[in-house]
Amino acid sequence: MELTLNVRRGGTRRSADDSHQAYHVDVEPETSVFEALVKVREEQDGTLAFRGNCGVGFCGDCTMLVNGRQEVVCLMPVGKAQKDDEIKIDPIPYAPTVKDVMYDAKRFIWDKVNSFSPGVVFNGVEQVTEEELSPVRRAMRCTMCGICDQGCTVIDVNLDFKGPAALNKVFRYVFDPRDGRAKERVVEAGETNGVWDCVHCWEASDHCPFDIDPTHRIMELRDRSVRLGVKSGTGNRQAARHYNAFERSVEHHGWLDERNVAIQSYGGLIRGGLKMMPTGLAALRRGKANLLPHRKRPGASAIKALFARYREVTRTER
Amino acid sequence: MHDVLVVGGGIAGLRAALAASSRGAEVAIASRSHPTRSYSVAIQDGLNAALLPGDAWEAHAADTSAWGDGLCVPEVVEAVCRSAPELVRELDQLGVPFNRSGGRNGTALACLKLRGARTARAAYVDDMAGLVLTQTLYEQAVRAGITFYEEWTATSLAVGDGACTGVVALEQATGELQLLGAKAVVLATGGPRRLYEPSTASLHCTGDGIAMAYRAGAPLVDMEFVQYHPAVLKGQRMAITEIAWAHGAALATAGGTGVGEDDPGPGAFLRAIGQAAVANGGHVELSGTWDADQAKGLFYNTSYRVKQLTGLDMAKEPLPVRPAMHRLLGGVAVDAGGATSIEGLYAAGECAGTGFHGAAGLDGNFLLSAVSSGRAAGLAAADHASSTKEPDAAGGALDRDRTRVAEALRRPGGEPLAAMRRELGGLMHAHVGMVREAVGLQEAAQRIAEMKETHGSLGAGSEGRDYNFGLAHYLDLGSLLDVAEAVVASAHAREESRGVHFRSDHAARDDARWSVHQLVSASEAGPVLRESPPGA
Repeated sequence: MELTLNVRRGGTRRSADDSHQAYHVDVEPETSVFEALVKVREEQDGTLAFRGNCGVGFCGDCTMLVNGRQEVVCLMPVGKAQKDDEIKIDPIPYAPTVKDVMYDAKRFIWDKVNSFSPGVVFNGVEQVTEEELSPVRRAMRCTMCGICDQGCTVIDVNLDFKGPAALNKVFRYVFDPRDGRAKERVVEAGETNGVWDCVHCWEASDHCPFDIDPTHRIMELRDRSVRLGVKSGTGNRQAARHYNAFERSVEHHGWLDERNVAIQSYGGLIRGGLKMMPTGLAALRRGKANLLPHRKRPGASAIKALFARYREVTRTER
Repeated sequence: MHDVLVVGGGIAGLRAALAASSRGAEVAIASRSHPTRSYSVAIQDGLNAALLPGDAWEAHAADTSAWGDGLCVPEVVEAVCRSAPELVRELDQLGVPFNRSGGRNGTALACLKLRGARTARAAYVDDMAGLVLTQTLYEQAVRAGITFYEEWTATSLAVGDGACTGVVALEQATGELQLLGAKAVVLATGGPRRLYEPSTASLHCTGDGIAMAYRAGAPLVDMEFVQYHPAVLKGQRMAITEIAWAHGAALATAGGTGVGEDDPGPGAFLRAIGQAAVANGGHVELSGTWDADQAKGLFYNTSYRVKQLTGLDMAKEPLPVRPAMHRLLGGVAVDAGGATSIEGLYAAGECAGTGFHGAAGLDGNFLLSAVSSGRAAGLAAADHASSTKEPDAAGGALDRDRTRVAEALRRPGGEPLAAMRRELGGLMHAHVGMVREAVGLQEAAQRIAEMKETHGSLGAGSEGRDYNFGLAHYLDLGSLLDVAEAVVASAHAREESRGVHFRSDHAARDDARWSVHQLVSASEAGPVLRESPPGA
């Protein structure tokens, strides 16, 4: 089929009216967008800059926007991608651009991944089970294509947030039973722009092409962090406190004591109380809160027993 | 000046770097892409090792040699198969989550029975061993403090007084050429898959390391042995994972006639599929005994990609596949420690001709070979570096390459280069593929010589320095043509059939005459061949 590829050209500066160059190619509908771009680069224009190597979705290097949607372009057939025989190709917008449709993978991915201590540090545990390793294996399907980071609502406003890809890498270490550094790792992951800065919007899980469910991995890192006694890193203490207050409230009341969770999240009775005072007074005035003591849910003792049982079971885990 | 410079960031290169670093050497890796973007990630099978009770390294060695059709180097086969279980356990402890057997609570390494093995012997990581090994070794390389030159393309070896003192490399972002000096260099640049069409090649499989060594005077070995993959998706580069054969994969024509079912040797098996595909409209159909759960589990990575590329559900539908060029079994001639004929120059992985595979390579032995040869070469390179004083930087290669690149930037490129590569791919597949004969090989040799002439008059097509892919394409085609001439010359000289080398004009194996390896060296007059007895 005859196609027009409209490819963004230019350097690091992005603007709403980025110029696009039209390239005409004749390829089969099952040809991937990547192969079509390679054909253009080899036959028509050697200056066209984009990355990509393996062509079969494993190297993760060819992520681009295709008609406005982020794709691993070697897994996207042109027949599926085209609209009226045209395909518009742009660099992913959350990452800085290097040239044409090439994004700054060092800044967007690798500096973040490598800011966490790399490499399993073998702890001598040789007998590990399939049950323990299969979640690690699932996390390691990751090709670092960056699509989850491109969907991340935090990176959208804060490029320094480590993002789901890098945090999934931490998950891979922390949940590998052969690694002896879990505690140090959750401390690192709890620093500013780490696990506690995720807003669990679940976009990462919706975006991940390989069903790694990265948002869930971040939640599991938080759980493991709390279980290892690291209740908050040096980073977003408020999110960590909220996490703990939420848990305590459900444990003791059987449901959520919103008033106290808010106060605890903002730093406890004095600091949190003062901070929440104007909101609390406004809520009182409008009848949205009262000063009565928070009531336990019927059956709260059974819920508390569940917590106790959970603690007992998890204490015996490695 | 580095102690050890590794060229190539795939599995062999990363393993070499870690080995050299473990000996205390200061190590750098120069790679065309970020290391985890290397071709290695697309390898999906596993690593053969006699891990299960009742298996033994001798049995692994026997299977390897039987497949290798009389041309494996026995000492290398013994060394690799003996050390294989240790190599796998080492990877496991570095963090590779190999599959376990025995259900959820099983702890023993699980093994699959791949084609050509008499028993279950391949340790695996679902269907993504290459991806996970590359990621894990990269993690450890960062941990070890190895220096990375990412997106640097090596263009030449710096050789002075018969010793390799570094590599000339092009920084893609700036277009600048620099000499990366080193006391020892390890080539781990992969195979020349882009030489053939169809193939499983990624963009960087250009054989550039093999070509650099060849141009620097190092002989290449076993270059006639080019192995096709039996089942590559029609119209795509994606090979259907070798572990499918552990789950009842079978090939059939559209009429339901089985292909290659009596399990002949590797060469006959591949030729049978190739012939059936041609007779069947370009492909045969692959199906297996896997179900939807396995397609989502063990075959997740394959089935997802197949679905994306073709819309087909491999749990329910047969896949259209045909053979495509996969691996070169030869490469830069090395000894058991990875040393080439040039002092200070080592080679590992697919660019190295170790003699392990012989005339046909066994599934599950390639990843093993990458790890094993990588470790061996890394250790030998570190030892060499520690006993060598800092060499004088040989500037000749840098000056030559600066001139070569400056001239190429001013010459036209683009479509004439692309046309040449398309022709070369078709030519190699037609005349130097699964079936060869003298006339076709002579024709190929003639055309390649002409193409080399024409290539010299072409160039990058534009003068831009930053990320000039036209320049990369021009340089890559030069590498491919150098490798092509060595492959064709070797295939033409070997007048017999053995392993994956099949000559329709010399269809029998001829042990009396051809129990030898062929070494090929570059000269002004073209490739020069000599023979070396096996094991020598």
